[in-house]
Amino acid sequence: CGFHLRGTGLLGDKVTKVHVASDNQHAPLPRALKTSLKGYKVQVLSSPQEEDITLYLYPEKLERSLLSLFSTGQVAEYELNYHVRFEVMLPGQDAQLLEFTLNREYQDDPNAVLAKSRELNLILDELRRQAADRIIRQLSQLTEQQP
Amino acid sequence: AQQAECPAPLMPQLPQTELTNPGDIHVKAARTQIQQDTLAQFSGNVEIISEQGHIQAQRAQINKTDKTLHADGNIRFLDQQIQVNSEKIDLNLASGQLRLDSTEYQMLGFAGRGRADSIEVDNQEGLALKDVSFTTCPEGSEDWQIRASSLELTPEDNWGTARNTRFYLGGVPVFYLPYFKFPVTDERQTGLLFPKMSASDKVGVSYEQPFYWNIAPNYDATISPRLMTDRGLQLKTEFRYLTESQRGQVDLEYLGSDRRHDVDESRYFYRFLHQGKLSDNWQISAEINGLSDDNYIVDLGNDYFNRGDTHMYQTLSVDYYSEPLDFSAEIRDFEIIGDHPSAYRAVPELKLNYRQPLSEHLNFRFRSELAHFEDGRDDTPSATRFHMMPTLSLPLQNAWGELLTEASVLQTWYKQDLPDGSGLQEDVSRTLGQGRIYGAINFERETELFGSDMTQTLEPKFQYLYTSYESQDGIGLYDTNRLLNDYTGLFRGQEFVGLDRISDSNHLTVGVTTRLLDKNHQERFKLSLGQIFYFNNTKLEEYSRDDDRSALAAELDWRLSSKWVARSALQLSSSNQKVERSNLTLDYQMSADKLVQISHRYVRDISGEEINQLGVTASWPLSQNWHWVGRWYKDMHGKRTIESFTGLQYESCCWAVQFGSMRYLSNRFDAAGGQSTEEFDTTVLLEFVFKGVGSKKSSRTLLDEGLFGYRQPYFLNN
Amino acid sequence: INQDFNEPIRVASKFQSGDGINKVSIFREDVKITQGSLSIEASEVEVNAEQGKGREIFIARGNPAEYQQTMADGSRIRALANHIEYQVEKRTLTLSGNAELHQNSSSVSGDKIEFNMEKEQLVAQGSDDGDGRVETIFQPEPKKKPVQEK
Repeated sequence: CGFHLRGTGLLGDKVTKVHVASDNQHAPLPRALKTSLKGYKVQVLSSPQEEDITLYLYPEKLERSLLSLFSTGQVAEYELNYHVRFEVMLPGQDAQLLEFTLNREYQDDPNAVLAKSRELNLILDELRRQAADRIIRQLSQLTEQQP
Repeated sequence: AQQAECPAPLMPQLPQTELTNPGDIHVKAARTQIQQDTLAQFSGNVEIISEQGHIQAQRAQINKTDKTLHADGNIRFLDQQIQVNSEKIDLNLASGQLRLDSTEYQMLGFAGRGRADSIEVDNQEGLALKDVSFTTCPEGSEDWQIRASSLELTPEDNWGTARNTRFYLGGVPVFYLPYFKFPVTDERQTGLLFPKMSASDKVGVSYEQPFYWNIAPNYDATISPRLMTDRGLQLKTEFRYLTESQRGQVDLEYLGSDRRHDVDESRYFYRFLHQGKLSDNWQISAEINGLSDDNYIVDLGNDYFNRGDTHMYQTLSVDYYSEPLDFSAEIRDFEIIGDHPSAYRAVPELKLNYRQPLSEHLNFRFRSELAHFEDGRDDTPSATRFHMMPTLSLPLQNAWGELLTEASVLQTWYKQDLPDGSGLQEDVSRTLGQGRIYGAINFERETELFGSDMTQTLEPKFQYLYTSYESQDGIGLYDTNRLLNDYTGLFRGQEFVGLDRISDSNHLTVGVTTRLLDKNHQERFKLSLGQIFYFNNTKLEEYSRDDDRSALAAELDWRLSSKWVARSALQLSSSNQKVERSNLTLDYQMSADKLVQISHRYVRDISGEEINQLGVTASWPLSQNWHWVGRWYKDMHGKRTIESFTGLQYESCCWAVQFGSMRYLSNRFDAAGGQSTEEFDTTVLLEFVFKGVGSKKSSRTLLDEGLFGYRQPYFLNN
Repeated sequence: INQDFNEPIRVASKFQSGDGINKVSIFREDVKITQGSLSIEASEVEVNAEQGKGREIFIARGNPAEYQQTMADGSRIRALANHIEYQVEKRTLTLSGNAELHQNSSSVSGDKIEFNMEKEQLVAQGSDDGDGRVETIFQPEPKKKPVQEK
């Protein structure tokens, strides 16, 4: 039926070194992105290099908007909106600002507040891994279009 | 919707004649006369370009000894900040101070303009206007205007300070303020400093007048007394601080006596946020919220929490980050809104994580956690728990696929302090083994669909999880709860959040995602299906399943056209073909403020209730100035409308007024702490917005009004 | 500025023709005339000494012709124009056609400039065509002038 293994190298061959910059180096999103980059065998530089790519990550933003109510009017379900903004500086080109939002559903339960706060952190870590992969996918698309 | 005839604000653009070097003064005139190379007189279409700006005049005179310039005859002055027409101008060439008399000015970059008896411009002091009028309304339709004896705009301060300000609406003086600061740009100022007026049956008519106090470059405070006809005077204050490595915010709201409060006590809300870097590796953060009574937010409203929230965070954490090792010590407590049974808190909770690659493909990870749980009551268990989880993982990854194999040991000790008669054990030790294999393969093909060539992907995924069994009914439930099984949740490898229950497992999860990507890699269609196949039932009796397969989880995102987007998620239980959860959203979006969204949500059982809810949200411009917003949510299960909102906005070039009325479930707590399911409240909203001054962001758009639309920010430690 | 006129006049040019009766002499091609601190360089200079000594009229043409002289206050003026007329007695310099006059930190350029050296007064007129306005540039006064300009 025409399907073949995805041929285009995902980042690995075109891009070997990337510098991840952010206000706070230890913030969860930059750390998640660096871990994913290493997973794709991309070397993470500690400082920006002229001939290599630099990614600047703005602080992550998480918002909740409401999806449904209990009959008492108390919140039953939230939608978590995770906003990511970052700048890509390809060698010799000026910075491009990219942003996207990932959404996940989250149920609230007033009788298990501690467990729910754990669940929120778990979903947040998953959102960060998902965001890191998406940044890498967008980065590999950008480098593909390059001559 | 912006009015077509609204003149766009002038942008600063000085003429191109570049000065050869800074201090130069370049003069063009029909006739020039210079006396002893000191006194120069120019006449006839005079144009003077200097660092201070660009001046056009009929006549001008420059005295080189005392370094002054004087010009008169329909003067036009232009610099990066302001464009002024006036009768005469005096400029001190040495200090750069400039003064224009009987002027008409137009700010550059935003729509502020007006008249002033004199304008003084100085590089350090900024702009000072005397006996000035100011508005952002276009020529000839000054719907509102500020007149002040003096108006100062300091460049780096982003603030305008006006003295003896009279406020005119349509030429009628409306109110007077001796001292009045307003934001010229949006950077530092979040809220509008203009008065906020609204009316609702909760508070009556509410008038809030914020005062901004710029204590120091890195400290500021906003004090907003709010007068409510039905309740009294509430004082809302916000103090912010920003140093090189620490920043934070303190919000205090206090209402001495509330005429409509069922109990005669003062009501308050406090919020403290802090984030700081102690060193390169150590960070500290805190978020502490509290309020006087459960109905505080329902009655008085709040900028950070909405009336449907069930709890507020009270956390304090110190974190250490380094490459292989992270450590965090946290106190995680909550202020519960409403009367809910005991809520456990982790006081404290210490976490230590260590990662170390052993070889090119083999990684070692060690997670450990020590926590003490208690809920402030002595008739319930409290516990100290120490958990360790060493893991060996083998991640393999390439362009078309991924294979991850992991083996872990989960060792947990409990020391439980139990009330007498509890069936739990005081000392428990639990040792479990876990194995996990996760694989994903990415197939692709080029196809031609909807008339354009697309890339279709096919991404099958599988995960096998094995966890050994040990009885856990001697352990209490402190931070554990079942997890929602949406598509992503299927591959999590854990059924519960928290550690008090780790279910034995021997199951295979299978999933597939297919996407359609257009030429520039934009996702036009995405469908995911997944299900867990259990090879045997869990031995944890209270969670035993009556089916060997999980609910089928499906997710669909489909951009039908540039305007239509459909999104859906579904969980279908395979044993009885019953829908566990489903939601469908259809978006029709012509532009940012021209949209209709229809949504339906169904959950068979959530905390014992069934949710079956239909929602419609619409925002539509009716004419050049009029804009309508509507929102309607119906509880199909209870056959009633739980929220309806309609709002109209009239917007002209320099002001806008928003009317809104909202009917919603009141979720007010009665004296017994319960919430009625029949009580509804209606609120009428009237908000007056001055456009062009202050930040637009602060006036929430109509679409955000009403509980459903409003997006509440989380405080993230990043 | 007055001592210049007691100094001898030195003239260098490719061609020279004199008209003894009306005391008018014309010098052509690479003409360079110096008298004390005064110096004129032009492609053609006409010196009319009819009214006798101290009342000569110099007319220099070039594209541009150049006139330089040190003023009483020691500052050097430098004038350029297609047509420069210098009347010694009246101490006036009249420049026309792409006229430029540079003195200390200011320079004026226009269609026609009249400069009275006695009163150190300059009057410049723009032309009617195009922008045609007189342009004046004042440079910031350097604190101390290290060396006198040539």
